[in-house]
Amino acid sequence: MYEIRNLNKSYPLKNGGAAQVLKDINLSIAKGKITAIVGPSGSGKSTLSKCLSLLEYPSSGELILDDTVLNKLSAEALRQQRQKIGLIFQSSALLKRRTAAENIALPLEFLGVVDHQIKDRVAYLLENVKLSDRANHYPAQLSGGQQQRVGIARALALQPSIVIADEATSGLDPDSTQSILKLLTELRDELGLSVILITHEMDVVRQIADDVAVLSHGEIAEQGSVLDLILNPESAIGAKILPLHIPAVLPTDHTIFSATYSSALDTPLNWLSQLSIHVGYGLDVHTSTVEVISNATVGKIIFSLPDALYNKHKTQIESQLAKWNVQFKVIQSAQPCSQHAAA
Amino acid sequence: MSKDIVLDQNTPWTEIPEMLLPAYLETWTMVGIVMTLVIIIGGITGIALFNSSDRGLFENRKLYGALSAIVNIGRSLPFLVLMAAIIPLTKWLTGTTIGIAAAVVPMTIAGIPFFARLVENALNELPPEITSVGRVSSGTSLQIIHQVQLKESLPSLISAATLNLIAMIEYSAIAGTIGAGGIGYLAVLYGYQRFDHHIMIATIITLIATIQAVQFIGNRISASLKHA
Repeated sequence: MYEIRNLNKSYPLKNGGAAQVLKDINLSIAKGKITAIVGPSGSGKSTLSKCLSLLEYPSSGELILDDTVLNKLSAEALRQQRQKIGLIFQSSALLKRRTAAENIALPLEFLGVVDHQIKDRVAYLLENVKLSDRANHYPAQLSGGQQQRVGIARALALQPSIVIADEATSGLDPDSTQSILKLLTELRDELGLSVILITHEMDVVRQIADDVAVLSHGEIAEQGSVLDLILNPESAIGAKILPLHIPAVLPTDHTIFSATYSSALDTPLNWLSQLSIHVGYGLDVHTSTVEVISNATVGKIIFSLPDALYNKHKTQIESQLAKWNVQFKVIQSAQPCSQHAAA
Repeated sequence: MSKDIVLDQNTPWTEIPEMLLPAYLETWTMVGIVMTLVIIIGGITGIALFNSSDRGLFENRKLYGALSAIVNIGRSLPFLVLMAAIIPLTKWLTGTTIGIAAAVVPMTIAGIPFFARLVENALNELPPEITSVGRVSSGTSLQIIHQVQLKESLPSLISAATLNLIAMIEYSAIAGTIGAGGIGYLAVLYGYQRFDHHIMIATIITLIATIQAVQFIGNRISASLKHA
């Protein structure tokens, strides 16, 4: 568990003042989970990433890893503790004059690991990132995706318990992005690593993150599990992670529903057809999105039925939806709009 | 009818090599001593400049400002002026104001700030996150400077040293005016003061060939070290 408590970071200004970039950040990075930190440009993501990897010291607050307050350690003690935190850079940041294998070996060489152990560990890591056949290639001879995999292998060289991926897929093509995301989930699932994903890409969050924290103007605006936030109709980030665009044209004589459901809440995945049978009408689906998030099926849907039918079956519909834990909102109705949520 | 007496002040071509060769060796002796000192002292200064900047390992604005100012002062003075200005220092250090030993002092003092700035520039060419790579890889400051900063910028450092070497060869020729020896002295003494065109042509050709060769070799070494 990596605990960030009351973290503040400010930089001195020339006029004698200070620019506060991070304000009172509190975060818990759960073991064996992927935690995404998202936010727009200028929200303080990069600074937070540097603080989390101790490349910058916070102005105040504590970074606690395995009961050790990292930012209170001496330089030498911190150098040893750094082994527990691997950092994957946006640009992979490989040393151009070293081969893939030599790049991965760098942290091991720094710690004075003996040659044959370095060789074994590097071979194992190259195998893990599926680049055994590229061991002796220089970065210039590797694709962007392959370079990033070498960067990941280097971050894993010292067997860290936490890996911070700072915009690790920015600028990569879709195939490379997918292979990197797959690799990160494998690290979580097979090695039990905690992964901190600094990103602005909602697709990435939706695909692999378990938890998410939203940074806005240097403060945590929202945080929680991705699933909870998607299912929370009040959550702005939930709406961004799994967006649903309401069609411009909808039937005027229909009552229109916006609904969110998840297998995690034991909603039967055929609830819509069951509801159709209940009301004796094939409900009209105007748009929908369904994703598997944190091993649960999550869907958002806009559906409708004629006003007359709705008025007739209103109580039945609402009680069924509540029973199935489907969160819904009537977004157009002959009657005033109302909002409902499963208990 | 009078007959013009023509005095040929030019050294015969056949005698040029035996004059030029010892002078050429003197030039390389001077330049060799100077480059050794410049690379060590200028290199350390350049590393300190880079690492005290906001991209370095131990950012220190005051140290950077002070080093930068010293380097700028060293680079502001034309070599001839510097050479004349520090004669008392040269005499104190070497006990003489002429000859190779006397030339080495101003050449080294001129070369150090030049090379320091070239080293700083070479390190600045590295991607900004390179030093962070060293730090997150648990490197000590010395390991990061050696294994990451210097090794990664080696091709640029070789180019910098080549540029510096050429400047030092030029300075050695200027130092010839204070009797430093070397082919600069030969050119001044014979080519300029005695109108010996043969010596002048020979020294010019030798200097051009030397600079071309140095640049060619420097470029080749630098290119061979790149893997981009």
